[in-house]
Amino acid sequence: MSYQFDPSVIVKFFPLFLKGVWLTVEISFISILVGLVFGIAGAVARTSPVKILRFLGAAYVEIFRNTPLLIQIFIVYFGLPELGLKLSPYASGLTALILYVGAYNVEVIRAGLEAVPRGQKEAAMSLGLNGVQTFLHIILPQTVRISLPALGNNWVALVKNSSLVSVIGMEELTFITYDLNALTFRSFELFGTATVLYLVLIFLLINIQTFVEKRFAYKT
Amino acid sequence: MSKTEVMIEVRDIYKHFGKVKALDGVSADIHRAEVVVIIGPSGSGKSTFLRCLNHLERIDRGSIVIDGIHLTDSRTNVYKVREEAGMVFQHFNLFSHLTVLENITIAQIKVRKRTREEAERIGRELLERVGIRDKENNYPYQLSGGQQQRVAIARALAMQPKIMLFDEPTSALDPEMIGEVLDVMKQLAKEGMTMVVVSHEMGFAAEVADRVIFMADGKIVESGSPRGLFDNPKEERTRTFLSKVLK
Amino acid sequence: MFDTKVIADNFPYLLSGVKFTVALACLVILIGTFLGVILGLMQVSRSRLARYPANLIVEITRDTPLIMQMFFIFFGLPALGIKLGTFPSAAIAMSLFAAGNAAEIVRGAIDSLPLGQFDAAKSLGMNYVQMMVHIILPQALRRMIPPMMGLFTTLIKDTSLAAIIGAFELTRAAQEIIERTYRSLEIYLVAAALYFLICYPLSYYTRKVEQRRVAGV
Repeated sequence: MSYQFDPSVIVKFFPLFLKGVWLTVEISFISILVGLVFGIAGAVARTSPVKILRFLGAAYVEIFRNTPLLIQIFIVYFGLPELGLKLSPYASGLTALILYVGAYNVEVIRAGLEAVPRGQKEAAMSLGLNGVQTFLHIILPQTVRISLPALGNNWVALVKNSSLVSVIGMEELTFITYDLNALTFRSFELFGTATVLYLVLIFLLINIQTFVEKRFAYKT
Repeated sequence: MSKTEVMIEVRDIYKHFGKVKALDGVSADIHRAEVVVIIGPSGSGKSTFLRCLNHLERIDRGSIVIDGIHLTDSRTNVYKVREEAGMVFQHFNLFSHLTVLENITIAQIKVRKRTREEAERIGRELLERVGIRDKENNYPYQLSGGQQQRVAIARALAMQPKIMLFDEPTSALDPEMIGEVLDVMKQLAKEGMTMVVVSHEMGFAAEVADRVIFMADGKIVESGSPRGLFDNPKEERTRTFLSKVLK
Repeated sequence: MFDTKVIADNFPYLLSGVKFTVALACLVILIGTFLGVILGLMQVSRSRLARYPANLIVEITRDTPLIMQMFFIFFGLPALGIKLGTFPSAAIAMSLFAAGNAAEIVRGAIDSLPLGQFDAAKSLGMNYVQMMVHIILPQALRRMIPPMMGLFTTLIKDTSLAAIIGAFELTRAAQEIIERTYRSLEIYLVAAALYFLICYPLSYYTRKVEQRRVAGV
């Protein structure tokens, strides 16, 4: 049986593809931002003098990095309702993605924290800044700058991982493609297009990362 | 020990890296058993010149003939030429996954096709000559800088090259280790090895060099006997450089 | 309310899924590493004929989601007349994915070596093959091990995606149990715990290897 390549399918459904791309971008963007907060919180916990915080931070990281994202999504979407917490596909998907990328961010930010020269804290303290001010205005900005390259890698991974929320019905790019394929069976054209779109997205993201790095990042 | 036979003949070589002209028309003759020291400011092209001699860099224009072999001829077996020219690097470049003895034998066995016994025999003799026979089973990271460089010299000598090229061999060493490496190089010179040395060690040049070449901006500015060049530099540029270096 | 009986009853079935998870992971790791080394070497080659195709394959497999690649293989190949089951489709897609990522690790390790090593090998008269086999690759190998181990852990987790195209492994086993019993939380938690039991020792060991390597050099 020979396959008839039919590019008109791509043209016909391109608006739908773009809808999917938009949702992918949206959930990735939100997850990156909120995931950063989780990463910072987790890193602070892991480097805290309080033993129980250190343990909780480590547990968070190890649990979410050593179990599949797919299972995490299922637990949030299918499992939590058993405890009375029923989240929409959108909220479930976001929650799972944020927790997942947050765990990877913790390790990156922790390394960044440790790379900030000790003298920075001492200088800030000697100027009269208290602990919170020192952290927010002096330590944290430098930490993020140092961590930018590795954080960028996490972000690229996140965009790829966002494809998994399609399994709970979120209509991002992968879901759209799968759906269209079930409708038309033009697998090559559809998955080929989706592949190109992801490549473009990732390419753009990498370039943004490089741009941000050049402007903000520096190496100690 | 005839000093008139030309081992290396360099004619009008040009080399650029992107927009930068590293070598801007350089010609030189280096004779058998001659020790030539090349001095000059950074960016003068002296390292590039050296690296062109064993084809680590390819020249854009001109010709280099080593012991009768044209480097730029496409039929030339570059690997054969490299066997005849030994190189010692500023940062030693010892192979970190091999012991000292293995560093010295690996090229002998794989390139010169010697047997392991013969390679090790030659290797041990050379380690003896450079004064670190007892370290043959150590790994490079266990040795001091000076020791590593001496191993590097032995490694290059093990191939029994016709010429030895030194690219700032002591620049990365702590001061107290420079002497031991220079001693090995002086001994080598005494034994009649043809040597081209890029270095800042003026004392070494004055003591051992037959000729000193001063390069700047990719060109040879001046060349002559050490005493001649150091005491009576003819060119303004040479004078400026020397005044800064020979305080 | 937490139903431990359903866990006890269905645990054996979950374990039968684990067998396939491990099998798939091992298969993919072996093929992927082998192909990845070849691709990685092609990427650092001087010949454009080798570099361009290798770079293309690596870019595509690394910069697109694995699930997309699985769909492509699972739905696309039948269109060409090649009919594969779910497990082989997953295996092929994951092997390509693994190869692309492994290639990047190989390339990174080789590129991280000081240029001086290449210079020294060349200056001693070694040709390209001798240089790579005796000097470059042995040193690159040490640098490859921690990231490769990280890749293995990732691949074990990614076998869960095979469930989406219907292949039988741990996640699929969990889904089947849930279809019968509706106890999503319990079963998925146990499945997560099983993945954790496999992956955590690997991550832990990877960290130890990394620390030892840093200390030794």
